[in-house]
Amino acid sequence: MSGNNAMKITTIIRFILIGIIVLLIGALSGWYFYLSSRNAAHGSSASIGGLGAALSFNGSGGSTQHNQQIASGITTASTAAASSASSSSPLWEVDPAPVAGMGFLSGSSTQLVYIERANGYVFNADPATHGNGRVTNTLMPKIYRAYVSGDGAILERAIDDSGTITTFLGSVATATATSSGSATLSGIYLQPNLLQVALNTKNNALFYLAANSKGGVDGFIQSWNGTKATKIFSSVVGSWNVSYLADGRIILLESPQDGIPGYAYTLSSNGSLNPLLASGVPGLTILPQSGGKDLVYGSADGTSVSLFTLATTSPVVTTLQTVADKCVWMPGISMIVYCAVPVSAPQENFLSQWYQGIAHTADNWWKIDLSDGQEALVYSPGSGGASLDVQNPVMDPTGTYIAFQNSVDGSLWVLNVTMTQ
Amino acid sequence: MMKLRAILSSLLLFSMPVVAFAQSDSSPFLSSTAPDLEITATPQNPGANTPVSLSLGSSALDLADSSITWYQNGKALAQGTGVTAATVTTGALGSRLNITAAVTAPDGTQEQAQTTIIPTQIDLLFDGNTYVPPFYQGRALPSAGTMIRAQALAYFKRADGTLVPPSQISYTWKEGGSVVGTASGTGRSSAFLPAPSLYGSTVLEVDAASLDNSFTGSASIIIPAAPVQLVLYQDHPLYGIVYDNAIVSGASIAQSQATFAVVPYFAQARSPNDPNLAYTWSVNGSSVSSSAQDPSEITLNAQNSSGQAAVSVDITHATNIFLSAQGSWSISLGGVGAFGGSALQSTRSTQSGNLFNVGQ
Repeated sequence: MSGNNAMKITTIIRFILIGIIVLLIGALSGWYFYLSSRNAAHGSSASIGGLGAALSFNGSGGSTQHNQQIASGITTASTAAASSASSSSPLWEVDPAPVAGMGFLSGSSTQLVYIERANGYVFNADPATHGNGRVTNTLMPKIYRAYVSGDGAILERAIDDSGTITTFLGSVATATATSSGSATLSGIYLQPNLLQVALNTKNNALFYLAANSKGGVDGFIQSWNGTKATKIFSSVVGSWNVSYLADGRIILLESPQDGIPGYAYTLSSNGSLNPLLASGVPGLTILPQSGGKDLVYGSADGTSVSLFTLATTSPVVTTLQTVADKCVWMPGISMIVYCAVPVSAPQENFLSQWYQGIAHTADNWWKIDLSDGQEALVYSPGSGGASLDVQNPVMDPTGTYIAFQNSVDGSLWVLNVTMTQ
Repeated sequence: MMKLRAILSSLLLFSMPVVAFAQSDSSPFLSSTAPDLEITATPQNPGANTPVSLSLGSSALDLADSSITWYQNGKALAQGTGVTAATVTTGALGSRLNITAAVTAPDGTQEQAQTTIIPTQIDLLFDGNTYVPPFYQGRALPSAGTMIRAQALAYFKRADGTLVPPSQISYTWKEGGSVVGTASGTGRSSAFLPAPSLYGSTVLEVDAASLDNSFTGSASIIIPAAPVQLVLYQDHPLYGIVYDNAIVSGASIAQSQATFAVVPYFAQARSPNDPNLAYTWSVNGSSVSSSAQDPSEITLNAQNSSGQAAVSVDITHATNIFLSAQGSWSISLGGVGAFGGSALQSTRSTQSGNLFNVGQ
């Protein structure tokens, strides 16, 4: 009898163990299939950010904002492109995300190259078709300022965690219409803490200012490949804004301040400064013309701002209350300049407050013809339109499009001036 | 013999006016400037293409009844009885205006005065050795306790088009009307001078003259002591410090947690985290201690709720007693609402970086 009982107990235990094993196998199998289904969902969302997505040149995908919308199902690339291209508005919001800088490429077709601030990615946009695509996948976070030359040289400036200003000079080797967003932005880092940098595309050079040991600044010219820099300028005053025109002239502007006289010069190769104006101008801002002698300049006396044109020997005051920073020359030897003009007259100490990001404006676009002094309103967003505080305007080589940033949010816009007139 | 001397002396005496009269018949200019006849030009050191007012004065002649003729580079400019003033306009740098005023007094006395006007240009540039953030397009202004960096650019253009180099120019710097001897001298075209006192201003002047005194020029400017200006920006995790869009009081931030950076424009500092700067932060009336690494920044965390935070900061300097600045802002996080007292916590985290619920 005891033997039979032992056999029964053993059998029961065996069945229990078998049952436990079966349950464990079933549970593990279920967990495996569950995890597999989650990985599939994660893999499909890897296209957020644009990497690997269908990034045809004429698609709107690729920008941070647009790809987040696509992944969220808000819109599709084709839908977005179609709606933008069919718009009859001369104004196009290229990228609502903050942009560090942009420029038009030289060539037969109009291409706008820009750099997003968050990631340093390079994008290529077509103002005619409203197409937009990412070109590079070289991550460079927190780009504060970027510049693009006519032949595709790209300057990206950032501030690292230690507060050091970094300057990267690169180029995208090949950016074709079928770019998939996987190009590499190759280049070199220039010396740290450059105060001001300006590119020149004609002679493949750049000019920069760096602090010297005497408490002032030195100015250097060097080639784009980073070969030895040559010092051509030195000053105890450290507040300068520089530009390097396509005609080879280096322009130095004493950094403006409302109500205080400022001066502007052409810097010669021997370091001498040749005045652009015969005397100081309060709160001077300037817009020199590459290849020409005409000049547009602004004055900010602390209570108001004025804009002047200088085509002959005597300056002419315009009716437009704006600063030269909001203006852009029509390319070529023209006497046409476009200016963004605040709808409401700027308040006192506007210039410094605008530079500090405290004051913002809502602008209309005006056109000035220096040959006869005629001023014309060319575009107004209207009461229900976008409120744009125009910053860093640039014009394409054909004189058709003006690209600019909205200082309020850093977004990138393009205005077709031929549609407005 | 005595009689012969008298005759010869008489002949010599009466012949002199004839000689002088002969010279005056052959040229509109007499060969000398009368010591009691003077031309005054205003401005004294005009620039290019600048109107200049000329005034003729004399301590001996009755100019009001005299016939006066003004000449500019040999050409008659103005003429008439009692015409003691005239106006000319300078040309470009490198040009000269030779001015002559010929006077015929009622008694027939003829005298002249001459002067040469050479336009010059002195640009007086300045800024302060104070802090402004990277990529700032405006000027660094001097504040109390800091230094003015000044530079004079003298354009003394010769007739051949060359400029007199700074090494051949003597500069005299003046601050508040007093000559700064340590900064003045030949070739001393730049100067480091103390900034005005708190809430004050100073007049900075420079006089320049070529070593041969053929060129002179001057410039002056009023420089106020700029107050240290505190501007608050969001330090965004993606974009960095958003210098283009300052946080103004009443601003609203969509996120429930955000980091803000205060920038002390025109402070005596190399960076906002300069070790000489001391920050005192408070949020909704409660003081918050600073982070040693980033004392210029503060992180606000509404703890997934929403409301307003009253943020204020005081900044002082370890050695510059004039540097004392305050700023305050009301910021809404995560939408509109009011921070309750329970939502605000200041307990110190044990994590590295001392991340406060309200802190840095």
